[in-house]
Amino acid sequence: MSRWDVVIAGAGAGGGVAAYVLAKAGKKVLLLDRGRWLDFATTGRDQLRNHRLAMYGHNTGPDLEGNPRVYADPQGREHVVNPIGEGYNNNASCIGSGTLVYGGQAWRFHPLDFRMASTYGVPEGSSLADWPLAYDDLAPYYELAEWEIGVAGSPPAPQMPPRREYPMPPNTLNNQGRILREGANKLGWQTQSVPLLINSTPRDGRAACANCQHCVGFACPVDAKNGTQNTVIPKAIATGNCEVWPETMVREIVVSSGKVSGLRVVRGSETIDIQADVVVLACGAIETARLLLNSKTKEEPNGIGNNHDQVGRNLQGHYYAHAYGYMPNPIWDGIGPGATTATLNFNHGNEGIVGGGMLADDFVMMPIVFAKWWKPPAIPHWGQANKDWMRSNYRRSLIAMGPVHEIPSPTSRVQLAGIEDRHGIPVARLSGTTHPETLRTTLYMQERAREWLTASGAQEVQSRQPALGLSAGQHQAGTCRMGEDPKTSVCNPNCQVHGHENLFIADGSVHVTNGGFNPVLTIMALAWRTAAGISAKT
Amino acid sequence: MIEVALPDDLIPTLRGALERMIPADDDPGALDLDCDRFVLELLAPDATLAGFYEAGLRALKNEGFDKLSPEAKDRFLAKLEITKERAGWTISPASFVETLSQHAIEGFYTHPQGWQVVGFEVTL
Repeated sequence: MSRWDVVIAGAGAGGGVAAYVLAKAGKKVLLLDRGRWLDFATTGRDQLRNHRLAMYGHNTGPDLEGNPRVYADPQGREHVVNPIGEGYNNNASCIGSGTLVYGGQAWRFHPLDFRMASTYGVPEGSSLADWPLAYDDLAPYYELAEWEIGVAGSPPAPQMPPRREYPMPPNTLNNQGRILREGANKLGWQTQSVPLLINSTPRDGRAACANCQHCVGFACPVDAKNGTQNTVIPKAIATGNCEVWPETMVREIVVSSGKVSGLRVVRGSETIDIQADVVVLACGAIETARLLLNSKTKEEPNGIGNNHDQVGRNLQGHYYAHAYGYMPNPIWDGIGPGATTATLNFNHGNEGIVGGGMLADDFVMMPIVFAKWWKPPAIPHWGQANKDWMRSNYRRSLIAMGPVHEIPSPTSRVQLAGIEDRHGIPVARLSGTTHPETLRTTLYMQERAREWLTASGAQEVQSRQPALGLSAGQHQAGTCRMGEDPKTSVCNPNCQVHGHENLFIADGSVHVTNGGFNPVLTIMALAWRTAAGISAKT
Repeated sequence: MIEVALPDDLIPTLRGALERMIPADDDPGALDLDCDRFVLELLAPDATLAGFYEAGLRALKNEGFDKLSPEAKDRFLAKLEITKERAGWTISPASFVETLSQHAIEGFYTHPQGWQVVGFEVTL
């Protein structure tokens, strides 16, 4: 038996923030994660086993054995997949979760990202809806995340509301960014630097970015990347109010006399009941939904919060619009992190298109990623011609890409599968696809990406055709959306599960839509707001 | 030492096929950067993959691949690459060539000398 004010399941972007806010407010907090404490030394630089390219494993887990999911492909065929299998949609399993290895793009959502349904109408068959809160509700918490976790960047593009400056100037501009800025100028497009949760100057006792070539997908060799594992979680521990239990798997939510009373967890070989006044779930959009579905009671026989069959629906992530081409001469300077330059000209206001998205350059690319992902169809897969193409094009490559608004579908969902993990807990089954409107938005943004590269002087500019599929991945969201009506949502606008006054969600699950931006800063800001609400009330 | 998951007589066939995936020229080729070892390390813990390789290499060897000139090997591999079924093959020749080419590329372009071939410079 273990007794706490608050227990938080999941120590990623949202859980880490919630632990800090609550511990600082004087709550006794227990923060759980199924993963371990990891760092650069323990994750290394295996170019085939990381979160950018996971051919044979992940540098952060989860282990390939004992953690299956079931993936139903668009044809409805079921596949049992391990964490590197197609359709698994993995996120890092460690303290900090994806924030240990992310690129750290620190975007605020656009004000209209919270108003998609009233701006565009609801496409038939989609579950597009407005958020029950607005940009202004989140703005103060965006600022707290930017300052306390640490963002480097420039003032916002004119498409965004004014905000307080960031605590650090932008990271280093490189050649590709300079070329894209010139191209955007020719088109009359505005650009801004890509805001990054990466120190551009020494801060909080940690170094500035060393401009290395292995950023996204890897832990940082100089610890300049600001994840929750090296910012808010250590600060939470330092309050004396927060304990972290790594390698602890939550089995189910415990309910006593109709009220949520804690979590049943597996720690080593022990099953432990943790009692808490408040329970916060922050396991990511797939695992949080799985945990709710696995927690069945007499009153909620299909899972807690699921009496209206909403838990697990509207699973979404991001389709990426992209274009690639080659400059006449080598431009590669290898100056990392590399995501330097973005345009927000097309996030909204695109005639006949639902939403849009941000476009930016990419992090410094590993040759193996170039070889596998960016080979045009006309180039052979092997032989002298392939080698010649690699040798003459790698350093001339120019790419623009960015996440587009996903139009959610209620049939894209997390359910329970008929198989169990190594603890005997039923695993997630993922099925469905995004709504077809997402493809139209992607195609529109790919045209803009090609325009940008062409204006920047790139040749042989092209894109791949997007296909309808299940979308979740590292930007997974939407499975416990917030709303006023329990019949169409899982949480209320304070991210409290309907009907359970002491059960909250603090991850991307609650996103009604996922914006035309990388979502991590929104997850952090929203977790901040949710935790502040909990500490004010209890 | 790694446990070799292939019969000894198929090692020359493996090396011969890998050599054509990334040929040596003024820069190193697949064999110079130990792509054969890279493949054997993938096979050691993976009996399914090892069986797949053994089936493909055995069929290649039986077709006289080892004795072909480099140009003839390329032509033959290019033909196999678009052949889903073929007499004497228990696996898809196309899948085999695709797997081999991807493994060659993985071994080669994650090798520090492979980085030098394309100009990927690591500063830290």
